[in-house]
Amino acid sequence: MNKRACPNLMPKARVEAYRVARRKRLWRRALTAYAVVGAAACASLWAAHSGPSAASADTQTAPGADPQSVVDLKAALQRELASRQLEAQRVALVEGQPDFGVLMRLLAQESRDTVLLRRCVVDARARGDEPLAYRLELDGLAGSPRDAARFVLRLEDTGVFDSVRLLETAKADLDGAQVTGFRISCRLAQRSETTP
Amino acid sequence: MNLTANLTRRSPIGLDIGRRRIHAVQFDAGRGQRIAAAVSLTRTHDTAELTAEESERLQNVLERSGFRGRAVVVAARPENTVSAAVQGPAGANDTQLDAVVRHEVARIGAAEPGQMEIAWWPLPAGPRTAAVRECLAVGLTHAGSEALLGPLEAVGFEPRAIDTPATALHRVVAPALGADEPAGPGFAVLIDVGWSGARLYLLDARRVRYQRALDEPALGQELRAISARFGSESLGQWEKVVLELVTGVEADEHASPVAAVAQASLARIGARLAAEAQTSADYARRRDPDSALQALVVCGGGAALAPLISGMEQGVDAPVTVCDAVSLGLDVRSADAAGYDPGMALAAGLARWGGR
Repeated sequence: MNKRACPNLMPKARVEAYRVARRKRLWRRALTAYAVVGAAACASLWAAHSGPSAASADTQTAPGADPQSVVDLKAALQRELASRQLEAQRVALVEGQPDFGVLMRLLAQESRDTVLLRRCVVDARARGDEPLAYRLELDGLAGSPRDAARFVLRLEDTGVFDSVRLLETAKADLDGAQVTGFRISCRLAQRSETTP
Repeated sequence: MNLTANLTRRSPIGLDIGRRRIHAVQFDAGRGQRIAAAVSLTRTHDTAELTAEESERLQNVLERSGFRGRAVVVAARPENTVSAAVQGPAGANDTQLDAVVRHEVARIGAAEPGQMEIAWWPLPAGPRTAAVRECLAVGLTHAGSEALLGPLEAVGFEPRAIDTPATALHRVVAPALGADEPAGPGFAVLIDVGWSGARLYLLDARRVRYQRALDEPALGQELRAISARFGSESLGQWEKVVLELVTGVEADEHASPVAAVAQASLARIGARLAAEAQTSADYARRRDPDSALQALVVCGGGAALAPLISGMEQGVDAPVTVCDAVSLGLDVRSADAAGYDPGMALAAGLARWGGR
């Protein structure tokens, strides 16, 4: 059977959205399973160490009890807890990352055949008193100033950006052909998080 | 609680949403052709799209009928899709042909290429098309997808794909044509006889070569006309009697002039459909003189009507095969799969969707 035997006529954006949702669900399940296994391991470790001493309250206060073993157990549990917290932070970091692949695909779609992008930078630094927001800086070549302006309009029409500004257009040369270089600055919708 | 059953992986649910009935099929993943669940329910609204009420009912029925999971694969409605045979330059690679196909299908569908999803597959070169690369393309607008998926998503289904009926049917019929063997010169004509219309597909073991809607009066229209002529009983009761008669169940008890008229009418429809199949087969043979018609395959609700099949057998020079579980090599031993019938072939093909 050839490779085209399973076509999918669902819009690509929708397919991608479901794929991301499935990936996130998988991460959540993995994290939950990991936490349950970790908790069970901690509980069994605690039970193994505290079992003999709990069996007889007298032995805890007996002069022969070793306080060093209690200290060691506490330190081991603290290390285990720190390790689990670090793992959880890593998973949350991966899960919370924005998917810039979607942005790249959007740009590729909107650039069509009239615009060639040379540089594309996403900047998440805060500026002065402004709240934190993503900035997208684009540098590229267009067939004419009109093509560059149309590209700006198409970007505005996507509704993804708060603002789109054409910063500069200049004559440029592309393999001997006269084209128009341009720089565009876009501001993406604001985020509430403090980290990208 | 059956723990092993809950741990078994399942395929997505194949959903064939017709004007009159909804068919759903789900396979046991990794167990070959074993159907885990199959169900068919009658629609309550005579509309192309599902209503919110129907979607909710569908969800409840699937839950009670042994289906698992929310992933569904649905078929694009032929009336909403653009289908065309597109030709590109002989030396064109897949990327170049893809660009040609996208623009051509978007032009035919009067839509922007960006507002349409398109699938295509190459066709074998014939004597007349040796100088070009030919492919069969299908396109669906985003608005059409939205209308199809919206009601399902509203009740929590997770659509995995919108497949074309042609490729879905090919997926279940191809193994019966020897798809795993090297491509031979044979081809088959598949006719999907539904309540509101019939479609013809010309396919070989590797691909669908051609498809079209048939101009024949719809089966439902014909049966309604007979019902109106005799019309003493309600349509529902009458249909039940006719279907019992034509399929041979309790024929002696219900033998009546109405049944004789219905049987003769179905046989005539069968003969006309066979003539259409023969015409398409002759056309395919003119394109490729070495090929031969292997079989006329019948699926859809009409495949269950014995007089229709008899009419077809007399009108075509090839064996007529009905898409029942035995012909397709499907395993329906599971208790929840007992309801499988030839009308579910499309739903089975959709459940077999394995793309990304």
